[in-house]
Amino acid sequence: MNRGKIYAFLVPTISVLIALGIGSIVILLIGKNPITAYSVMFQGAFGGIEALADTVVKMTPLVLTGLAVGFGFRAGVFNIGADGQMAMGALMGAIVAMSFGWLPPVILIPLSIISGMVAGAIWASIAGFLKAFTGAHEVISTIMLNWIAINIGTFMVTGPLAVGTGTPKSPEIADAAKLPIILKVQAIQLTIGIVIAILVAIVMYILIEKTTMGYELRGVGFNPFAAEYGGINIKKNIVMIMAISGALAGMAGIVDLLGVPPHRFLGEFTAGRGFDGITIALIGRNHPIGIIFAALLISVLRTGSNAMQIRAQIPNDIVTIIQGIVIFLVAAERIVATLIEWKKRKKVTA
Amino acid sequence: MKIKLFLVIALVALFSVSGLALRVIMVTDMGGLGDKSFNDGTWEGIVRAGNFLGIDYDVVQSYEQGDYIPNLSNAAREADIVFAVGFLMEDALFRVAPQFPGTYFVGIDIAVPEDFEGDNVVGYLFREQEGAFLVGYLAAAMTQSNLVGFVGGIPIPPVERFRYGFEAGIRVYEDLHGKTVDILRGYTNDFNDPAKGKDLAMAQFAEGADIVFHAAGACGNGVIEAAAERGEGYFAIGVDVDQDYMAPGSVLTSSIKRVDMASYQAILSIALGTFEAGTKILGIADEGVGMSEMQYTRHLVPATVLAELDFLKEEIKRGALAIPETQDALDAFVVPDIALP
Amino acid sequence: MVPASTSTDLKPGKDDAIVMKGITKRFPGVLANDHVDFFVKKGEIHALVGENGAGKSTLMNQLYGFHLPDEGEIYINGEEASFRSPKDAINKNIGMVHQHFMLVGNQTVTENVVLGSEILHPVMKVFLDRKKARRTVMSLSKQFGLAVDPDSFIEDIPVGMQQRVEIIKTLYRGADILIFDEPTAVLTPQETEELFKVMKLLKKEGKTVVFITHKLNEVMAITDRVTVMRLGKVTGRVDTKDTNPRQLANMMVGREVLLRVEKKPHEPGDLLLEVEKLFVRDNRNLQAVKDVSLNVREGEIVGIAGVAGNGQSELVEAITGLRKVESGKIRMTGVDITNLSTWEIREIGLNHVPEDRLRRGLITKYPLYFNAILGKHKDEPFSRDGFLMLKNIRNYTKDLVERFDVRPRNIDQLAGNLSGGNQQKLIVARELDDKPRPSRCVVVSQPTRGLDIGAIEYIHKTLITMRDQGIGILLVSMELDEIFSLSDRILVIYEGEIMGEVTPDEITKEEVGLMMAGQRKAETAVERGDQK
Repeated sequence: MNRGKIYAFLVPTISVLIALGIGSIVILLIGKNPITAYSVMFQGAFGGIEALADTVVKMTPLVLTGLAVGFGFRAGVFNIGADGQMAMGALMGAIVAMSFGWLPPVILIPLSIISGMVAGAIWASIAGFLKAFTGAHEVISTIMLNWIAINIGTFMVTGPLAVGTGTPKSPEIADAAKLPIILKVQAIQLTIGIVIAILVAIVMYILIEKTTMGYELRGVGFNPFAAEYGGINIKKNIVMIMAISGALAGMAGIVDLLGVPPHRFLGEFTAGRGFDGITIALIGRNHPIGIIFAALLISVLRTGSNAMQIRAQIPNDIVTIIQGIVIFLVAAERIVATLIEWKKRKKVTA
Repeated sequence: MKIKLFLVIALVALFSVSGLALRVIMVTDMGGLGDKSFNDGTWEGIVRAGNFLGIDYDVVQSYEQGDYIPNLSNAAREADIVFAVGFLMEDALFRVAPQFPGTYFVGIDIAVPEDFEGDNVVGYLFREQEGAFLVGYLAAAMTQSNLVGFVGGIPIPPVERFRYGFEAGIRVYEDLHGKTVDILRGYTNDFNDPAKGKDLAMAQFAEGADIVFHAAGACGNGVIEAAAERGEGYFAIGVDVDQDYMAPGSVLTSSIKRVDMASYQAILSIALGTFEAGTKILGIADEGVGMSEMQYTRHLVPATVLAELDFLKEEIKRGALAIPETQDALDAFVVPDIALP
Repeated sequence: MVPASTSTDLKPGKDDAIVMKGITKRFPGVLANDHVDFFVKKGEIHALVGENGAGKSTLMNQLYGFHLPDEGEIYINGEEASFRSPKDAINKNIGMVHQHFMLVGNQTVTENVVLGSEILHPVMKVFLDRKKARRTVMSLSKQFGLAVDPDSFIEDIPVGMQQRVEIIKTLYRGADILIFDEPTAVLTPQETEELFKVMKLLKKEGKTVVFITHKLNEVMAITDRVTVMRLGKVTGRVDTKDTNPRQLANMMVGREVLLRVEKKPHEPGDLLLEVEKLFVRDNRNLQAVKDVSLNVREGEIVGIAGVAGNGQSELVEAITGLRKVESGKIRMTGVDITNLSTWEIREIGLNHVPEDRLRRGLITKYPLYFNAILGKHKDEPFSRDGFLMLKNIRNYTKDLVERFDVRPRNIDQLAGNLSGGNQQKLIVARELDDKPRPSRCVVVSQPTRGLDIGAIEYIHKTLITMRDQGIGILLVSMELDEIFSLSDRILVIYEGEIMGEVTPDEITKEEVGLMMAGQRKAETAVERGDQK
C-alpha cells in the first residue's frame, strides 16, 4: 500500500529525470551545452513574473484535459477524444460568450463555461452511447469524433462565424465574458482560469474518492462484471463517465478561450492539447493532484522550450523528444520500477 | 542605387567597427521551418540580409496559438527586429507591438490595420492572384484532360487569392483559345500535414485532373509527391517559392511569392533608416510575385504559350489587366479584349 | 509420521529426485517458508498438501526458479542446484503444470507445445517445422495417454484438454520431474479420473510427480507419500498407506476437523423465492434453462445438483437479475422480480454468492472495506446524500471480518491479496449478513470451489447457521458431496431441465448421478421419493 504510494510518486519523477538526461545527450549531439539549455529552460518557465504567468496560463487547460482523460482512465474508459471535446466546448462556449454580451459577467462567465461543458459532454456522450449500447470501442469512436469536431470548427470559422480578413476566426467574445485578470504583464494576462482548474481538480478528487458515484465508477473500471453483480448499472455509468470526461475537456476549451487573448475561436484552437491530456493523465497517475503537477511539468517544458529556442537556439523538437521519453517510461513503468528495485538491492548488498 | 549601396557598405562597416549590432528573431506559426514554402522563404531573406549586414538571426517555432503572444514578447525583449510570419499571427502581433515601441515588427502576409497607432510595424501583403493568374493560364494551355485541380490549405485570404488568380488565368485562356477547362477545388484545412495534401491530390488525379495547383503550405509537399508518383503526363504546380526542384519534371511551374524579398527589404530598410510603417503590397510590377523559370519543364511548353505569358505579364504590369482579388470580383470578371501578339 | 525437524544429516543420494533442505523464504511481513525440508524419491507420486497460504506454492516456486530461497539448499538427482529462472529448472528436467494455464488462446495445440523451443524447418531456418512438431506432439500424446487434438485452437478446447496440453508441453521440454499445482481444482470428476490415469502412466514411465492439492480423497487415491505443510512449516511426512484423511486433515489444520456437517432437521417457514416455468437463453442465444419451476422457503437449503454447464449459471443469473428472462415468472416474498435490475432485486432481500468470486464477487483492487459494501453501497449508513460514510463502512467491515473470521483482519488490504478461502468468506459474510438491510434469501453458487478444508468447513457451518436463523438458501454446486451434506431438498438439473426433486435421506448418490446424466426421477427404479 505504502510502497504503491511511493512508486506513484517515484516512477514519474525518475522518468522525467531520465528523459531530461537523454534530452541532454541529444542537445550535446547538436553541439549545444545541455546545462545552459536547461538553465535557460528553467528561467523561461520560472524566471520572472511574466515567465511564471505564461507557464500558469499554459498549464490551465492542460490541468483540465488531464483531468478529463484521467477521470476516464480511472473508470476504465479510454477517452482519446478530449481534443475534439475541447474544440466543441470552446466553440459552443464562444458562441454563447459572443451572443449574450449584455449579460453581466457574474452570469455570462458561468453561462459560457457551462455551455462549453455541456457541448463537450454531449460530444463525448455520443461515444459513450455507442459503447454502452452497441459495444463500439470508445478509442475508435472518439478518434472519429475528433475529426468531425475539427472539421466543424474549421467550417464555423470559415463560414457562419467568420469575421474580418486574416486568420479564419470567430468574432471576439464580449468583454463581459472575459475572465477577470489577476495579473497583467505587458501582453500576458493571468486570469482566474487557473483557480477554476485547481478547484475542479479538487472537486474531481472528492467525487472520485469520497462519493458513491466515484465508488461505482471506479468499480466499473476495475471489474465491470463485479460492478454489475453489485447492482451498478454499467451502461448508465459508461455514458455518465464519458459525459463527465467530455465536460471537463469542453471546460478546458472554454476556460482557455475566455482567459487567453485573442479570445476568439480559431480552426486550430486546441493545438493537440486534448491529446496532451493523455500524457498528463499518465504522468499524474490519473490522480487529480498528480495531474496538476503533470500539467505544470508539460507547461514548463513548453514555455521553457520557447525560451530555449530564443536564447539557446535549441529547436523545440527537443521538448517533443523529452515528452515522448517521459510517456514511454511512465507507460512502461516496469522499466523504471525495475531500476528502482535494482538500485535498492545494490544498496542492500553493498 | 549606387548611393544606397554605398550607404549599406558604410553601415556594415560601422556595425563591425563599433560593435553596434542588430538582432533579428523570426517567430513562426505552428508550421515552423521546413515547409519548403512560406516560412522557409521568409527565412531565406532574413539569412541573406543577416549575412550581408553581419547581424544575428534566430527562429522560434510556436507550439500552439497561445504561444504567439509570449513568443513575440520574448523575442521583442531580445531582438531589435521581430518577424511575425503568417496570417495566423495577426491578432497577437497587434497586441504585442504597442508594448515594445522600441522594437521593429515585420508582419509577413499581415496587413496593418488603418486604426493601428504604433509606428513600429510594417506589414507585407502580396498580389498572389497575379502570379497565380500566369500559372492558371499555363495550366489551361497544357492540360490534356481539360480538367485541372486546386488544393488549398485553410481557405484564408492569401490562399483564396491564389485561387482567384488561377481561375481567372484559366478563364482568359478559355476565352482566347476556345478551350473548355473544368476545375476541381479542395481544401486540406491544414498547412502542416503533407499526407492530407497527397490524399486530396491523388483524389483529384483519380477524377481525371492532370495538373494540380496547390496553395497549402507544407501540405503541398504531398501534392508534389502525388504528381511525381503519378509519373509522366501529370503535374503539380508549386507555390510561394520555386518548388520546381522538389520533383524535377513533375512540377510544371511554381507561383512564386517573393516573401524572401519582403523580409530582405524590411531588414535593409531598418538598417538604412528608411523604415516606413504601414502596409506594403507587392505585385508583379514590384517583382514580388511571378512564376518560376521552369528549368525542368520549359522544353515541354510551346513557344507561343511562353510568348503569350510574357505578353500578359506586361499587360498586368502596366495596369491594363486587373486580376480579381475577391470572390465577388472573380464572379464579375470579364475577360478584357486582349490582342495576343 | 516424521516430526518436522531440520535433518541436516540426510545425504541426498541418487534415489532422491528432489531434496530441499532448510528452505527459508521471507516476503515483506510474512515468513512464507520456515526451514522447510522436502524430499521426493525418484519415480513416486508425492503429495504436497496444506491449506491455502501454508507455503506450498512458495516452496514449489523456489524449485521452479521463480523465487530464490533466502536460505537453504536444493539438490536435484543428488546434485546441488541453484535456480535463478524457470529456464534453469527446465534445464534440470523439471516441469510445472500451472493452475492457471500458460497457453496462448489463438494458437493451436501444437504451436503451444513447441512455443519457446520450436523445431525449426531444416531448410527454411526461421520457420517452424510444423510436420515434425505435430508428429512429436502425437507421439507424446500416445505414450502417456494424453488425448489431444494437435490442430485445435486452445480457446476451442475444454479445460481438461488444455491441461493435457500443459502436461505435453512439459514432457516435450524433457521433464522428468513434473509438478502439478492444484490440477484438479478446475476439473470435473470425470476429468480428474482421466488425470489420475495419466499420472499413473507417468509414474510407470519412470517420471517423478509432485502433486499439490488439498483434496484428501485425491491424496489417498493416487499418491505414494505425503508431505503436509502448515503456516510455512512441514507438519507431517507420511506414507500414504499408513495414514487416513482424518489424520491428514488434523495435520493440515492443526486441530480436529469435522469432515461431516451436522445439522438439525429443517423447519421450513413461509415461501420466499418462487420460480415458475422459467426459460432463459445463454450467451450464444441457445435455450439454457427450460421450463424450470422451484421454490425456496424460510429456513431451508434447496440444492441444485448437476454436471457443470447444464444451465445452472444461467438459472442463477436470471434469478439475480444479471440475465434477461425469456419467459416465466420469478417472485420473491410474493413480489414479482422478473427482469428487475440487480439492485432492485437486492433491495428486496435476495442476495447472491456468485460462482466465480474473482470475476463477479469481488473488486480485487478495492480494499476489503469497499468490497464489504458492494451491492449495499448506496444504503444508509454506508452512504448519505451521495457521499460515502467511510467511518461507518470501516466499522462495519471490522465487525464483519471479526464475525465471519476473515483473515488477516487488516481491512485496508486489497481483496485480491486475500487467500481464496478468505475471499469466499468475505463474500459469504457480505451476502448473508442482514445489515444494513435484511438478507432473506440467498442464491449460493459453488461456495467452496477451490477452497481448503478449513475454509470449506467454516462456510458449510455458516450456511447451516444461517438456515437455522431462517434464511432461505438456493445452493448450486457441482460437488455432489456438498449438495448431499447441506441440502434439505435436492433438485437435479440436466440440460436446463429439472429431472426431479428428492431429499438426501431417501436417495443414494448413485441414483442422483443417474439423474444428473439425464434420467428422470420416474425412470429410476426408486419411487420412494414420491410418497410425500
